[in-house]
Amino acid sequence: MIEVEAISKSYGDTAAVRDLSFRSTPGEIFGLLGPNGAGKSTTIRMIMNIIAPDTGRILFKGSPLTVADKDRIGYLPEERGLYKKLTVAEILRYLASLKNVDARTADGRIDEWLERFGLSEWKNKKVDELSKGMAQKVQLTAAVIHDPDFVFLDEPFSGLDPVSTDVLRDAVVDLNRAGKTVLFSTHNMDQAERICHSILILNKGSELISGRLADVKERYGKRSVAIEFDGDLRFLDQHAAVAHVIRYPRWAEVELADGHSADELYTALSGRVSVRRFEVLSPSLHKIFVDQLGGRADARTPSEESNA
Amino acid sequence: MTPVFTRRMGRVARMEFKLTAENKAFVIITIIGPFLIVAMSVLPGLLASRGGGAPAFDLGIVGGSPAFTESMRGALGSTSISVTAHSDREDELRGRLAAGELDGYIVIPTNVLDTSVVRFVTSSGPNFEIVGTIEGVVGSLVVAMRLANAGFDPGEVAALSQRPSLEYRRFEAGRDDSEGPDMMSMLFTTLAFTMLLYMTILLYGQSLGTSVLNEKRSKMVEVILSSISARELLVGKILGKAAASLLQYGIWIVMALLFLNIIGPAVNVEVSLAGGVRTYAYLVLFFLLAFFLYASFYAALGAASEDEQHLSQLGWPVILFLVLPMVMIGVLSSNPDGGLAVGLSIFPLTAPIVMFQRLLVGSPPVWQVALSIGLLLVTIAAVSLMAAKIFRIGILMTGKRFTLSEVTRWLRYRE
Repeated sequence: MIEVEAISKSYGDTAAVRDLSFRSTPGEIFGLLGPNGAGKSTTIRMIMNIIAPDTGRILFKGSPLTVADKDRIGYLPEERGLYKKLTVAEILRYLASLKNVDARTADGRIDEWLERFGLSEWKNKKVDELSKGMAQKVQLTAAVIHDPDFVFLDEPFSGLDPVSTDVLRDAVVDLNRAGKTVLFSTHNMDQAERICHSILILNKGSELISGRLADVKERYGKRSVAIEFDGDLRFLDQHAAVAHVIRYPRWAEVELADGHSADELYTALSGRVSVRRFEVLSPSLHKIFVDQLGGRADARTPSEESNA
Repeated sequence: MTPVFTRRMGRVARMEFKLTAENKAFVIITIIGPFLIVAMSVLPGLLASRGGGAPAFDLGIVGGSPAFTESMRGALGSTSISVTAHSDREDELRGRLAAGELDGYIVIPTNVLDTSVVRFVTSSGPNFEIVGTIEGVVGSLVVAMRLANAGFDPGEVAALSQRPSLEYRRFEAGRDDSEGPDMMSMLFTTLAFTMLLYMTILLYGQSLGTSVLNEKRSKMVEVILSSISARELLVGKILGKAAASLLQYGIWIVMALLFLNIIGPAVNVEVSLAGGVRTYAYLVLFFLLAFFLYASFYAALGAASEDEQHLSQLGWPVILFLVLPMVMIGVLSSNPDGGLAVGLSIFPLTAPIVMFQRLLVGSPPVWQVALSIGLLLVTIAAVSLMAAKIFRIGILMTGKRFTLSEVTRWLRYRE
């Protein structure tokens, strides 16, 4: 159980985190979400006691974090790297030894994890021969080599290709199934939506939305429709049944205006564009986030407006 | 507060040792080092013992009696100079000099007994040894001739005017006076060892700074700090680097001693070392003191820098104190007990090099040595506390090139 109580942290005149409180329940996957610069990494670093909050406190199982507690936590920082001159096995053994894992146990787990990630033949290769995706898998292995009860992952999927993302996401879900509490940060709402039990969305250092994912969707949900299409969907911006559109060249999420049904929308589409998928949705986290930020002008920014 | 030493510091130290000792530069320096030391400590001895390392020189004589020429030939017999021509006409020998048959000639004037100058013409550069030898031989021949003319026996005069020479002995309290090496080889040895001390301090200090910087640049530091404290990382790295440097010193000293005591005598090369084993003991002692002092500085600077260039910018005040004794080495070693030398050997930042140097060339009072070492230990403790603080803050700072005054401001940060 991690309890964060009213923490704040400033760098000079910039407030990185403002009066933030939350708790993560044991056994769940907790997502710390928000755009770049929202204060996610600062928060995780404060939880890891790498930097100290200016005010507020953080409790780990009811008391402040001790050095011994760090052995029960696995951490994948956002700023991550490996000594380039060492082999994969050497570096993993070293990091395991810093967590007080004996050499034999460490070797067993190294083999296990490298096999899972398909990196067995890279075990004795130098780190600088690894691709970015491989290195990230090795780094995740380093974070869990001591079989921690808690796993804190800062942007674990950033910069990965879709296949590696799936492999890493499955690994995170499996860690959670094995009983570990996972706290991870991402700016990618879709990733969070797929695996989180609870979320907290940060914006400019303060809490924007938090709670169990299902509750959040319930609370902030509006009726939405996802459309995959070929053609020009711009006419929908003016349609009476439409309250708001997030539109990409071949995909759009449409929020229905009050008093209008999905059927009206479907009718409006037929003949104008070729519809390949039409799905009535609970709103995406992305949509909820954008809505809560307020201002539709703001909301348009992430979408690619050019349909040309 | 973590304990003074933790097992995890040991693990960091082992990794630092491994990263240092597996580095190609380390291996190369370890191998070349002893040859440098041996060369530096033995070379002056070799140069002195060979004496006539000068090339063969063909000398002609213009004028003077045949007996004078014969005397010259006899007196120069054991040197590299041989008298190969005699003529009464200078232009003849000039021609042979131009043809390369001669390397030079001297012109003996007819009134040689009254003259104070003998002309020496040579096509080669000013070789002091040759000029000196010829000057000496011509001089003693002319003086002997003058003495004979005046009715003195040159042999008797030589014996009467023989000056006693000084035999140099080095005093050390509680020991028999050791037979000192000659001044030249002693100065040379001092210079060589001081240079070695200076270079290794600089090398290992900067190497630790770079290694700390590398923790930042490889982005390993945050993963590591999720397991251990910044202090454990700092102390572990310094200890690991110290262990690697001691290994290197160990290899060097064993090889040097082997050469001095076994290989040297076996191949019949006479070698001596000022101070002997004691020198090595002082070398290691003052290296370690200097290492812990400068390593702490460099660890802090490494943590505060963005890249190597930035590190060397921040490091200049540190280097200043290291270079100072090297710049003043002439003054310091010619007057090892003067006020300047005593002051610098007690001032902690210059103490390791200057006190080591004083111990090599003289025997400073015990209280000064003790004060110097005591102050060094206190300074090391103070500097390492400061370094730990700067390290803790700097190691997580990236993306900005801090100035030295900004870095020192971190010392006032509240934890």
